[in-house]
Amino acid sequence: MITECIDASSDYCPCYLAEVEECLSCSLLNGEKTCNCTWTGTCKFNEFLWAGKQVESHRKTILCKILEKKMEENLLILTLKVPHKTAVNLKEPGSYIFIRTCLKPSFFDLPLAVMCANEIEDYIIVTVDIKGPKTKALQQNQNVVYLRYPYYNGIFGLKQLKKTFNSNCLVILGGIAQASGVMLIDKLIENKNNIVLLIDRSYPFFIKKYIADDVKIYKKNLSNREGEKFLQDILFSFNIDFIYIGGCGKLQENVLHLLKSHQYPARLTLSNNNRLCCGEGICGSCEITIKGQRLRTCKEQFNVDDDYD
Amino acid sequence: MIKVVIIGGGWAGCSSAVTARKTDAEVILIEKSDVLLGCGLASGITKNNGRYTATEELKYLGARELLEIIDNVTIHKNVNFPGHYHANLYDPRTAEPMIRETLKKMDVDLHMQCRVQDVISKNKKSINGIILSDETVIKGDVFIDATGSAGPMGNCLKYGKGCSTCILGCPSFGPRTSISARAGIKDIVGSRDHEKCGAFSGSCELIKKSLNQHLRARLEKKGVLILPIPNEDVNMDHLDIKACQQYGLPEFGKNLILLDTGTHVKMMKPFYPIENLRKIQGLERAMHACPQRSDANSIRFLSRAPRNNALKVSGLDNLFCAGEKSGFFVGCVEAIVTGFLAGYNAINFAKGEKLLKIPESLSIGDIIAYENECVRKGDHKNRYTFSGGIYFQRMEKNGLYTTDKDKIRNRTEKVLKDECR
Ligand SMILES: Cc1cc2nc3c(=O)[nH]c(=O)nc-3n(C[C@H](O)[C@H](O)[C@H](O)COP(=O)(O)OP(=O)(O)OC[C@H]3O[C@@H](n4cnc5c(N)ncnc54)[C@H](O)[C@@H]3O)c2cc1C
Ligand code: FES
Repeated sequence: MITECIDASSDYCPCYLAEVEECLSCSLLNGEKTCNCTWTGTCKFNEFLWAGKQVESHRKTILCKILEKKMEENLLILTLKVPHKTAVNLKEPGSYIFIRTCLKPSFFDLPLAVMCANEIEDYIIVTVDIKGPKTKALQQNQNVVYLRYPYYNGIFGLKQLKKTFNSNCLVILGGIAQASGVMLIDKLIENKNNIVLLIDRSYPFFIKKYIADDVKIYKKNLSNREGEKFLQDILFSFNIDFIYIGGCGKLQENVLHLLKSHQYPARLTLSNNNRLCCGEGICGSCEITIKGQRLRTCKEQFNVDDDYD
Repeated sequence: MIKVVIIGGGWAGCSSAVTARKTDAEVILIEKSDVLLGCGLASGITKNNGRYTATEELKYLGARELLEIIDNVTIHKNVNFPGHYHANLYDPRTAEPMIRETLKKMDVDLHMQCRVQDVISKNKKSINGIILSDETVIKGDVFIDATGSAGPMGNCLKYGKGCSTCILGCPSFGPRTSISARAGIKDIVGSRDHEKCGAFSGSCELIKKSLNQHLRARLEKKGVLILPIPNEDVNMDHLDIKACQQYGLPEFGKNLILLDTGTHVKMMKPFYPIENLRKIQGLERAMHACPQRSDANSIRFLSRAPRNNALKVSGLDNLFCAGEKSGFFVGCVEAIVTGFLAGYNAINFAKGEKLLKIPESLSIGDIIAYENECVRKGDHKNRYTFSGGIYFQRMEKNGLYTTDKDKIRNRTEKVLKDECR
């Protein structure tokens, strides 16, 4: 199974993993004897040597202004001022940032999907489900926060997404992960796809106002028999060929199970629901194992269609 | 219909394609760059020493197409230079379009600028298909790994002096990929001393027009020039780092040997710093053609597949290998010979017939068997070519080397009679 590091050949490559022979992309920077790369357009080994065998640039934490702060039920919606280049960079499906209150140390950092990025007025919008220590701390009355960005691996199967044109797409969203669906839907619309949006009713539909008017929206409880039946009808009646599941693990599992039992062939993409801590492939909290291969999901992309069981 | 998928369009891959297309099989040849011949574009010497014998054997076995093209683009015949006799010098750059035409005429399905990135192997015992870097999947019944052993960039950097922008163009077309390794079979890595892996390509090219007129005229007339190197610049170390041990003789250390291969001039040094080069009379304005760096060259021999003498990769049912991928072989004739056998056996395999092992009474069978034996014993340092080094010594010792065409024909015909009744 070939996996790809989302940061390969980017401004942030080679990263600290190269320094410790743990690069996710280059075999030579992973302690192997020979080069065996999958080529992302540059030779990381070359870049690393020219940089003097050390990291040249890494992501920094920056103080950002909160432009707007809203509570809706248990959800905190923040509009944050960012530099222009950042707004441009984050306007990609799968983008996420790390955020923390300016009053607390770095281990309060928490990852949030970028829901919207506006590169004309230079702001981004994120949504926080207030749950535990990190999120609660964010509620404190401050008008600035610390941000660390840009991170990109919030969605698995980004390659599939980029290849999807003029297709019938089913976007299934539920829970807090629905935030990741907004820019994904924008991308699908940009690529002239036909979209069916299926919302899991068991959670507030907080992204509603960010979704274009002409997207067909269905709301169902997806965790019961009836929901399953409904999903099945949609698949076949709309002849779906691309599916995104932005929802909790349980929701993803149910849908994947259904697809499998019907042997339904579709390009699959999933929200990254793993626990991220550093976002840099260092701490290991995001690691999962697929087919015996360990993946640091904060950075690594894999092909969901054939690799996810 | 049988579908053969060949990865790599160097001499080996082209030779496999020609051989396999002589049956009614569908043959797909995939090459990552925009031209065929791979490292072979920097070649130009053939029929030197035992290569003469091997070429004739191959002709009598019926694989004439590529050899005839080489004959067509030969500029100098029967040239001698230190340690090498009756060499022919040809221009591989003019051969490329001809080979492409030949392959097209034979209905080989050419996929240029397509890089194989991964393989699909459901049961880990055979290959079902390959995946290109644009994610296209190509399925097949039998596969041939002819991806060579040069580069990619990371290796040239780690074991050489960095990417020298050689003929393979990794930065533009992407790196070489070991197909067998992707399918889970570990490559055998060649070494040049205890620590260093691989070896430098042993020659580079100068732009012919950059030689002074007088020198150029002499070169074009004789085919060869031997220019003494100023004492202070003699560097015998170069002899050890070269891939081509047949050119590892002291004469090649003390002299600059230039050969006329048509478009460019072949210089028998892995690299030669341009300032030093220009100290030599007649080369005051010399310019390098390929690689474009005067102080580096590509690193080769880091990717040999374990295989049997029918050139089937060990551990996989339907993968064959050819060229440098199939052994620590140097040279175009060596690539064509192994390409021929891999193509032939790929078809035999698909038809469920017995795989051919060329008997050791022919040099082309002997080199395949002997190299395998040495590598199995753990020798990863020697290179094998009909044209020199330890293998040519063996040819001479065992009476395999001859330029007597009748003798070669007789022994080849005997083999044909025994093996292909
Ligand atoms: C500078 C130089 C001078 C030489 N001079 C001579 C000479 O005078 N006489 C002589 O006989 N020999 C010479 N040789 C040696 C000879 O060229 C080689 O031994 C021979 O060409 C090897 O052929 P090959 O087909 O095995 O490999 P290669 O020529 O390396 O071919 C491999 C091909 O596979 C392609 N490829 C690799 N990975 C992929 C992938 N993933 N997908 C698709 N395609 C891929 C490559 O682009 C390449 O075209 C020379 C070599 C060099 C470098
Ligand atoms: S989040 Fe730390 S390794 Fe992935």
